Amino acid sequence: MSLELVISYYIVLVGVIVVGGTQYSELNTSTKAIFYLICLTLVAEISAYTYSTITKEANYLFYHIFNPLQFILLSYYFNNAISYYKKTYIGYIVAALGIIIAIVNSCFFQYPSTYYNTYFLAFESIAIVGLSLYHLYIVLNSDESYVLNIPTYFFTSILLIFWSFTFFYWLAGFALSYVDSENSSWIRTLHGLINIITYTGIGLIFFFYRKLQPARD
Amino acid sequence: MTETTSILVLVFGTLLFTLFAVFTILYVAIQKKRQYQYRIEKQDMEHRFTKQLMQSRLEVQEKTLKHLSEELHDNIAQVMGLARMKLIAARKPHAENKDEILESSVELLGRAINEVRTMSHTMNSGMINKQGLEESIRKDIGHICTSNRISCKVTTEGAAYTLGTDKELIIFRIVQECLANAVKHGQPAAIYVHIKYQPEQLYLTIEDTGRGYNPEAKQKGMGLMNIEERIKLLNGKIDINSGKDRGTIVNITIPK
Repeated sequence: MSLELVISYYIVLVGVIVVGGTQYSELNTSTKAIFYLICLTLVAEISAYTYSTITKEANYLFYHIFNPLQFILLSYYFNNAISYYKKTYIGYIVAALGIIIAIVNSCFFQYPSTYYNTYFLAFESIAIVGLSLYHLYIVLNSDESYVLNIPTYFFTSILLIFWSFTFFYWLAGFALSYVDSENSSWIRTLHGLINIITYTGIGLIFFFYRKLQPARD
Repeated sequence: MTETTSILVLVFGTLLFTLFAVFTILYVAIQKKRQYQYRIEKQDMEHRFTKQLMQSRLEVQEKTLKHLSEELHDNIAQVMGLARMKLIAARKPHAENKDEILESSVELLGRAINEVRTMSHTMNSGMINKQGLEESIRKDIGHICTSNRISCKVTTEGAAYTLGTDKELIIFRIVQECLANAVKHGQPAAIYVHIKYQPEQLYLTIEDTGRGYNPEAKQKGMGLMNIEERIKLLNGKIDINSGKDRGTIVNITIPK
């Protein structure tokens, strides 16, 4: 990605954190998980970029640590957004499974010094897409009066779109051996743009949070 | 696989996945919006039904009290007044046929007592609960025809069933309104009411031999609008056939 795109990305993340921070006291438990995720994303992205810029070495290790933590926070979000999961702790079970898969992948398949943890990303994409679809199914069958007043509907929608894109991008890109090839810069640029659009969308939900009814599910 | 093919696979595959996600999200939003609108319509309809039910109850009570007031003044008061006059006449020292006068007074007081008993049953606000729709219509039309010196007949067809107290109260008000219109505007010599109990619906016919009117030419009055509003709430239909000097036939269908 170009330097301009990277800086734009960080500015968007900072902006989302500021907007979310001003609404922090209003946020419910599941929405706070998304807020923490944005903070973690900013820290991880800045750390990874700084490391690779200074040392000129691959920063795979940062993503081997960041992605499982990201998955834990997303599982926590869905665990609190879906009442059935809250009662049965399915979100925590999925998070534990994710940690195990991440550790096994990093230790035996994709070493942090050499590879991105694309196998774990594929699992994470499938899990998040599955959880998002199930959440939308719950919303569809619920008695909630008007879905456009439920913040978790918007967060889940953004996660579904982003992780659907991410799943195929990483899966197909890896299968095509294209992601790390010399001519793949436009794909990384596209990926960066998608990230910016996604986090901007999350920022907008934080911005209009007070006008939306807090999720009661 | 060539580079171009790889790019195409990547782009279209990603697009497909993302479009699927967008479609799912939009589908949920549209369905929930429809659910919300349906819920609002249902609440509105329930509210209108409750309001109409309360209004019908009040109107039935008002009519009953009015009828009772007329009965007390025109009937019972007259009978008791006559009995009093006879007893005063019998009290005189040289009154003739005292036994006959006393006998006549006892008979008149007996009539008055029976009328009061009948009235007390009518005053019971659970009239529809206890009597049912058919009996309530018979009693009401009986009062109307006696008061207005009209020939009346109520006939039924099919095995009788109940539609529930609330629904029957509204139907009773519809019939009362139709009968009131017939007497007020048609000035008929006769009124016929036919109740047909069909398996899927109740079919009511109110026919009078009055002056009739042109339903197309005349602007709808409040009474007719109320009738139509009540029938709509019960998902029923109304059909009015009338013509100058040809009487009026009102056909009402109420689904079970």
